[in-house]
Order: sequence, then structure tokens, then C-alpha cells
Amino acid sequence: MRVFLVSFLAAFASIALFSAVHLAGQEAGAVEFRVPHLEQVPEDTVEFRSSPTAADCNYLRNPDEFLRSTELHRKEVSRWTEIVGSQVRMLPASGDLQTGAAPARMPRNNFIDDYIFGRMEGAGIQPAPLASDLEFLRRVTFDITGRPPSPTEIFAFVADPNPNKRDALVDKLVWTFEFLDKWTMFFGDLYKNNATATNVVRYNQGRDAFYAYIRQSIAENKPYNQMAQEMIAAAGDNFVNGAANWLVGTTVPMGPAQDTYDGGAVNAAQMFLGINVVDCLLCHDGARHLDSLNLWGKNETRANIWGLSAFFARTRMTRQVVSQTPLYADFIVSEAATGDYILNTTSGNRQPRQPQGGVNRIMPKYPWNDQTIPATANRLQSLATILTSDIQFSRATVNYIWEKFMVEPFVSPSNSFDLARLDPNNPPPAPWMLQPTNPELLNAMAVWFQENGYDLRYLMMMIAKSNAYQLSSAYPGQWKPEYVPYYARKFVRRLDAEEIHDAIVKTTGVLPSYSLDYQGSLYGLPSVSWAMQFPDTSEPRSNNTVAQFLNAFGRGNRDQVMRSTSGSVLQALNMMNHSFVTSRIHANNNGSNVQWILRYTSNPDAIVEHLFLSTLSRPPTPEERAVGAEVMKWLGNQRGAESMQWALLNKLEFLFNY
Amino acid sequence: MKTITEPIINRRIFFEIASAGVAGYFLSPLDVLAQAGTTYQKPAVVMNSARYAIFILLAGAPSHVDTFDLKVGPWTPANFQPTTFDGVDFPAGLLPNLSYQWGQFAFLRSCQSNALVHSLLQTWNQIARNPTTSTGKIAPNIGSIVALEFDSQRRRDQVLPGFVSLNTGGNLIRNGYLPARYSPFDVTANAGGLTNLQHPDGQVSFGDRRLVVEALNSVNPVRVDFDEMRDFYTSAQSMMYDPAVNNVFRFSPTDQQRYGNSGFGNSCIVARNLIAADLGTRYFQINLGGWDNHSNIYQANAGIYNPARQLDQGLANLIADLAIMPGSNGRSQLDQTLIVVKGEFGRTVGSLNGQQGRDHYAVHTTLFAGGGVRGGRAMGTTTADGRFVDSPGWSQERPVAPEDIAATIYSALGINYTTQRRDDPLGRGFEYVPSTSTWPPYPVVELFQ
Repeated sequence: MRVFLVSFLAAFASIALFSAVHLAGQEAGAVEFRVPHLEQVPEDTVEFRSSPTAADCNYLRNPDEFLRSTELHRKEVSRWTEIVGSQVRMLPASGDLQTGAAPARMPRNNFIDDYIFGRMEGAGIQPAPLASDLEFLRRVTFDITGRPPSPTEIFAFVADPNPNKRDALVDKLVWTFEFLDKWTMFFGDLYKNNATATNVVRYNQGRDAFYAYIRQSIAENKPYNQMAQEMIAAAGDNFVNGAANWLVGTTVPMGPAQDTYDGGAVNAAQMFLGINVVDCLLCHDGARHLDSLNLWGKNETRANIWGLSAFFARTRMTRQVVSQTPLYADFIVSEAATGDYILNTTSGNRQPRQPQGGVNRIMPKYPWNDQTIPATANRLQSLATILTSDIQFSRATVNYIWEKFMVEPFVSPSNSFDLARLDPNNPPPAPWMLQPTNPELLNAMAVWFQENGYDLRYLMMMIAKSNAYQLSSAYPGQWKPEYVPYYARKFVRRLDAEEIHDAIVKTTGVLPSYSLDYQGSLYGLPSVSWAMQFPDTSEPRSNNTVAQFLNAFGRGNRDQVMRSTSGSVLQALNMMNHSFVTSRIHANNNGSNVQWILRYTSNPDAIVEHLFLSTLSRPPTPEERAVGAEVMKWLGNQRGAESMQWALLNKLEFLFNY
Repeated sequence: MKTITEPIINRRIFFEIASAGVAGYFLSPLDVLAQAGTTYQKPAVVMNSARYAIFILLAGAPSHVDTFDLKVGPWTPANFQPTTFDGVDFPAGLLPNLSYQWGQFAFLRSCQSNALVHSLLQTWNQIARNPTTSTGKIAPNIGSIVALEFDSQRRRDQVLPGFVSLNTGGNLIRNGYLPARYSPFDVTANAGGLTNLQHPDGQVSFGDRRLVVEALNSVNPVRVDFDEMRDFYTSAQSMMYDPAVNNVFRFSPTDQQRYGNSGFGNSCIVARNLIAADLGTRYFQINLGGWDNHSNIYQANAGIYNPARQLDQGLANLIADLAIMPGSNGRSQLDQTLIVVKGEFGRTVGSLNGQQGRDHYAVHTTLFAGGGVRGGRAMGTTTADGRFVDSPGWSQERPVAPEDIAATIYSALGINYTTQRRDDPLGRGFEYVPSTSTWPPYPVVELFQ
């Protein structure tokens, strides 16, 4: 869930950095924010103002500000893409960078292209040219498997005469073990799988069981609706039945049981339906709170959303201590035969729940279609079926996956769906606008996903095989941030912390080995060499320096600390000086890439070219070759190779996928 | 509206429920949330008495009746040497060095937490709000906000980040939704200095390699005017091999011994150095764990003695050194550095539990020193056994919450703690210290009077 705030956060991260919104004035309730006197203030800074009186609700915000924030976010996506895209020296496939194909002439690989290029055509917007083989290969390998391609893979792909080689590559990549690693990590993030959280402790056993469950489900390409159903309606010991850990994660401590039922509703809505305002609505009605944030939500009532929480009102998670020293406790998850969502609380984490209009208990009722269930029906199983049949489940999943490939999701942030603003045939009243970047395509893909067995690999293949995905990140002519929702070029993203670690390992050829703590776990995990294989983002606990290296790149803790891709001084220091990096560039480190190439050849140009290919997945440009030749002449082959390897790891483009 | 002099349920019942068990989930009567739209803040009091702040988090929750709110009973070990300084009971044997510095400290004994879960309260204290609320999920550490507030004051030679964290293990809250620029700069205090400030292959190699990167980058000119990531590289390089920066992270074996030869002690030395050098850091968080003594709390060379020894030697020497270092305007560095020492909650009182230890408990004490605090006294009292807050000892006449501690820190640093930002990703507005309808947060100004 946190991961999907990243793109939105990037907007504010950069705004705050460059505009450094600054407080002046000392009186509460009459605070003014002013932009300080920096030379480099961009002209798009927004002045924020607090409410003039303390009685105004803190949480209202007018649509203008909301729309402007989207605009600013698009500027940020554009800015980053320009910065990195301008550094990319891979010539696009369709030739001259100065022209690209008109959208009408862009070949359509699948229905995604119809919608994307159709819309561009309608708006008269020029797409970027298609990415070259090199650009495409590196990008899709990172996006699907979380690692860069090796020089061998690069040569093979570029030399392959098969006109359908890009499709074949996608087909191949989604069935690799690396794919399993990356997408297990992704879903682990989404479901917030960790051993210790603020709200509940799963211990390593629970975490590992959950990790193994997710991994197994992806390995066998389990239909995603089935996966969701298994988690929502899980039962048993969470140390044994990995899926039960999803329910365990809904625990809300220091309150009555209803707080945990609400926790179930919040997690189900956020993780499976992409609707974050359910959390707001479980404290109060939407009116006077969500009026400017969410059109659907502003008309919703707390009582109605309680119908969702009521599905969780018979869920029991009995904690039992299985070992005193060391302390381990598991949860036995089950659904009781009786129990209701009763309105009788006055304390805890949420507003008091008191009888309303003579009603003192809430029956399960799915808020989005008002569906109820028989009194004897199993509530969790019922919810599992109802929720996964909801088209919104399909939409939210499509949006999450689309975001990972296209960088800009249809709905941003990807857990902030506004159900009243999704239908192009029924647009919201002004000043509200349709929410998704391409509402027709989102709906078409949601239906397609439903009709194709909720097949995640198939969904990813469809996206990766579209020409919309395969556009270059280099853009001819003048780019405008308004073009962002048209996906007129490929957007750039910074690699995740795990991808950076694994790229350094794969490039330099020196494999680490991290042991994972699994004492007592039924699903004991062996040592791993790749960060993408960690069961949560606090590993490797056996190697604190590497854990710090990874943390510096913002992998978060799947709890209070969100995954982030903003930069920092520490990241720069780590890439330049951390032993994880610098030990791997040495010629005398057995198995290192530098050692290998020095033994393979003494031709300085070949050495430079190999280092470029293995590190940046592309050959050097003529100018870079010239620099390389100078460096090799100046420092000699060995020191030259080591320095080139280090320098290439410290080039900006190494940390990004474009 | 209801004034908070009586808790909503009877205190005795509340604490009977609360003192149960190790994990201790329980109903929290002080946590009744507002009806929508009726939150309020009192006009902010901004004292602006300190330039720096050091927040020492005693992770694991120290027993208050064995340390800063000493209650002597049959259980008290003789080597605690309970002594009374000017009406304040103190375990001079457990914390001998701190007992010499006794006059520097104000003991705020009426602190109370709303829950007894470690990670929840550790987070709560670092973000000045309940972590399970919506803004709790995006909230930055107090230190990140301080770094943000003081960002515009930075001089060109101040190359170090505004917020430095030391000896923090797992539960360090970082910059939340704020840019990474304000995230804590993690330092592992080491006599040899900061490790990744130096290139492992030597300065000459670094110089060569830097030239290679620059040569490569120069043939690929970036088409936009500024480059955030490259700024970080430039800042990073300016920190490296800068004698001022290097020296600030180094310390002598003598100092290391004097400060107790521990990770915590070393961290105190580095904090001292960073304050003296004034290279941009204004807020420090130092963690010291080991206080979670559910069993064998009085075991020799273990139990509470271990963390107490580290705290004693590190903190006492930090205070002593800061007190003799000159600051600005004739004040000492201690005068302009607010030091706050607290755990996430307290521990059970009276006789020990079945494992010869103490379990979690809401009432606890916070220590304040420096930064304009008038030391040498206790404020607020608990009942004779340490179970309940008896007199809160401050203007708001209620137990002190983590929000109030945060308000005190912000106020001392000259920051308006009622500030509300409108740049948060949730669109709800982000207050530095949030208000509720039950009570608005307030700084404990009495500490400074």
C-alpha cells in the first residue's frame, strides 16, 4: 500500500525540496506559509494557507488545490523523465529522435494500444518513438524480473532476427525465478507482510509462512481472485497456514473488537479495492469531511460502511504462546458461529459506536452493491466471493500492476479510487473531473482481467507487449506535463532498493550470502543472495551494514515507514563509499566482473565496452568511448577497469529504469 | 465541555486493567476521539530558548520507580543507595555520575502513556501522535520537522544534515512524507570516524574515480537546469575529506572510556562534537535499549544495571562537557541544548512479578536538562507507590502526554507546534502536534521557569 503513494509522494517531495514551504507567523489558527527566498524557486510553487478560524474543519480542501496537486505531480514525473531521459543514449528504433510516428501510424499490438494511441490521436499529441532493442531490453527485464540483463542476454537479444522477439522475451521473462522473487516482494509490500508491526507481531514464523504462501501462489500462477479469496476467508494457525496472516494483519490493538473488524474492512478496501477513504468513513460520515477529496465518499455514511466491517464480526484470532523463551505466539484464525457488529463502544481507536435509529447491531452488507447474506452463511467466505466479483477488485488490481510498468497509474495515488468519477459515460459534475488518466482503458482492462481468469502473468504480458509500454523515454520536441496522462513517452522511475542491490550484485558478479533467521519456522528459508528474496524489508538481520545500505534507498518497513524513491546524501555516500559497492569493483575479488574482463582481454576498448554493457546495459557512445580510452591509458588496464566500473555504478542512469 | 480533572473511568479500575500482562492491550479512556470538526488548539507558546535538541529514547521502557521516580521498598537493592537531594529521591548507587549532575535535571514525574505496546509507543513519541491515526501513517519524526524548519537558516559551510540519529536500531521513525533531505542521517559512532565519509580505496583513488565520473557525465549534458540527485552527490563529496567534518565524528580513546565505552556513550560524544562544530545539525535522536526488564531486574551486571550504567556514564559526561563548552551570547552549549530523556512508558510498581521483574505500566518520568530548563527539582508527583499521577504539576492539570513533550521541544526550539501544513499526501492537513477535543497539546513551560 505504501508503495503506491510513492509516485504521489515524489511530487510533494520535490515540491517541498525546491520550494521549501516555510512557516512565518506565530499565532495558532492564523498561520501563513510563505516560500522562502531561494534563488531556484520554480514558478509553479503553490502557496498554502490554513483556515482563518479554528472552527473550520482541518480536513477540507478545495478542488482547485486538489487539481493543482495532480498538475504538480505530473510536472515531477516529467522533470525526472527529462533529467534521466536526456542522459539516455540509446537511439530509438524508429530512427531519428527528431520525429516520431504520428499516433495514427503507430502500430497497434493489442487493445491497450488502441485506447492509448486512439486518445493521443484525438488530442493531437505526438508520441515518443518506439524504444530501441537496448532500451526495451533493460527496461522490461527490470520491470518484470527486478534485475538488469547480462551482456550475453544483451548480445543475444540484439542479434536475434526474429521479428517477434520482443513478445518472445516477455513470454520468457514472466516464467523466470527472478519474476517470482520480484512479485512476491511486491505482494508482500501490498499485504504488509512483516515479522513485527506496530499493530501485531507475526514473528518470523508467521512472516515466513505468509511469504511462502505468496510465493507458491505466484509460482503456480494462481488466479488472483482465488488468492484474494483464500486470504480473506483463511482459517487456522498462521504459523502453518500462510494465507491466515492477512487476517492477522487486520488486528487493531488497544481498542474493542469492533476496531479490529474495522481493520478488516480498511485492509480489504485498500489492498483489494484501492479505496482508502473507507478508513475515514469508519470514524465519520463523508459529509463535511470528504467533500473535496472523494465524490463517492462524501455521500457515504459510516453506518453503511459498517456493513463491510460486519463481515469480519465473527472472525476470531486467538493468540497462543507456543514458546516462552524465546517468546513466540501464533494466532488461530477462525470464524465463530455467532457474533455481530454491535454498536456499544465508547473508547478505543475510533469514535464511539452507539445505537442509531433503534438499531444496535449491524448486519453484513457489501456497501457497493448493498448485497446481504443469509444469517447462517459464513461471513468471510461470503465476503471473499462478493468482493472478488466486484469489478472494482479487478480495476484496483489492474491499476496496481499498470503502475509498476507504466510508472503513472490510471488512478493516483493507486489506493485513492473515487467510485463516482470512473465512468466516462456518467461523468461527475463540475468542478470534479473523471479520475483515471484513461477511464475507457481502465474499464476495458478491468473487464478483460475478469474474463481472463484474473491471470496476473497474462495481464503483465499484455502491458509489456503493448507499444504504449515500448515507447522510448526520450521525447522529440517539447514535452509538456499535460501529456503525462496520455502516456506519450515512457516514464522514468528510480529502481527499488532491492533492485539496486541486485543490479550491483549481478553487474559485479560477486554474490553475497545472507542467512535469514527462521528458528522454529515451519517454512524455514534458506540463505539468499538477492535482496529481492528477503521475506520482509528488515532483512538481512544477519548483516547490518547491508541492511543499512538497503534502508538508505528507502525500502520502508511495511508498516509506518513508507517505501520511497526520493534521493538523499546518504544514498550518494553509499554508492561512492559503501563497502558493499567498493569491494565488488576490485580485480582481486574472485569472480568479480572486473577480474573476468581483465583476464578475458587486454584490449582497453573492449574492457570499456564490456563494463558499459554489464553495468548500464548499453554500449558506450563514441564520446564515452573516447573518455574510456583516455582513462585506460592514464590509469592502466587494472586501475582503469576498476575506476570505470566504479564510475559507471555512480552514473545517475544506473539507479533508474527508463 | 468536560474539564479533565477526573478521568472518564475510575483511575483504580483503569490501572488494574492496565497493569495486566506483558503485551497489555487495554481500553484507553483518555483516547476518546473528537466529534468531527471540534478539534482546537490553544494559542501557541513559543519559548525559543534552545538552538539544539537531543532526544534520548530509552527503548524498552525503564522502570520509573527504580530510576527517576524512586520509590523505596523492601525490594530496593542496597546498592541503589537511595539518596534525597533537596526533596528528590534518587538512586545514587545505580546512577552515580548522574547523581553528581542532579542539579541539571528537572524530573517530570506525571507522564503517562495511553498504551503499553513498545513499538506503538516508541513511534508515538517520535511522531507526537497515535500511529494508528491516518496522519500517523505519514508523519515524520520530530527531528525531520525540526530539520525542515531550520533549513532556511543553513549557512554554506554547514554541510551536515539537520537531523542526525545515533545508536538507533529498529524503530527509528524517519522523514514520513517529507523529502528525504530531512530524513535522519544515521551515524554509527566510531572512534575512527564516519565510515562512508571516506573512500575505502583511499583518497587518491577517490580523486581519480571522481574525475572519471565527471568526464563521463560531461559528455552527456543534462538538459534541465538542476538535478536533485546530482546535488546529493555534490553534497556528499563536499562532506568527504573535509577535515572539519572528519574530525567531528572522531574521538579519542580517553573520551570513549570516560563516556562508558558503549554505543550509547560514543553516540553522546558525537552529538557533543556536532553541537560544538555547528555544521548544520540541530536535532539528535539517540536510542538506548535494554530496559525491558520483565525478569530478573535486579540481577547483578544484568537487568537494569546494564542500561543504567551506559546511561549514567554517557549522559552525565555529555552534560558535563556541554556545560563547559561556550555557546553564543555568553551561554554555554548546555544552555542552548535541550536534552529530553524518556522511555515509552513505565513499569509496574511495588513488589516484583513472578519472574523477579517488572511489567509494562503507563505512568513514567521524563528528564529535562539544558536549553533553558531550570533543574534540580521534580515536577508533578505520583502516589506513594508510584501507581497514579497525583498532582500533574503543570498548567494543564492532567498527565503529560507524548504530544506535550513534543510541544515542549518545538516550543523550546522556537517552532510553533500548532503549525498545520497543507502539503501532505492525504489532503487532511498535517499538524506538527495534533489537537483533539479532549485536550489540546501544550508545552510544559513550568520547566523553564
